Amino acid sequence: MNTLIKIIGIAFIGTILYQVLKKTQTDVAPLTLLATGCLLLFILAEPLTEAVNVFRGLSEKSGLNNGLFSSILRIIGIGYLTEYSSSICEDGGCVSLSKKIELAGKTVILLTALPIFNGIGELLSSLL
Amino acid sequence: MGVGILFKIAGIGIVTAIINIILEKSDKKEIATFVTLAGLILVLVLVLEMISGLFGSLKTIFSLE
Repeated sequence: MNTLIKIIGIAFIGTILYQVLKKTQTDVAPLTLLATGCLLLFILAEPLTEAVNVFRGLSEKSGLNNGLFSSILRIIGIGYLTEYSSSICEDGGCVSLSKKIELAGKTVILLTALPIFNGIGELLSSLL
Repeated sequence: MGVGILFKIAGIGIVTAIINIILEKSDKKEIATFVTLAGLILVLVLVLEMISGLFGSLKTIFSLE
């Protein structure tokens, strides 16, 4: 709960600094947004690692083979990264670039998901 | 790696703005542009360090590599 409050506080400070800098020094302003976003994700890293470790424990117990879980984890990580960078590009004003980043993220996710499709295919063929 | 970095960046931005105004008043326009550039590069370096640290920690969390 207190991480949420810390995050809200930092986000407010970031927006206020952005407005201040927009008046005096317009080219440094978007960089403060980037820095605030970076800081928020840093704070979110610890709870995220705890959640990931819990899921890793569950997947080991359930005997799921490691490849599946690591690719799922990678997909979540890629989604995390693309969402952050595309919103930063939108803040900077270039919406087209943020759409490109989202497209790139989707293709990379598709690539990492390919082995899962192969696994399903083999499973189906072994069943039939 | 706390809120201090945000204030540092804002401070650099405001200081460059003030130096700009002073330089413009004493009609040295070309030095003013250099000061703006220097401030921007300084802030860029700071932010780049933060982002590389962030991407490193994301890599370790999601075992992306």
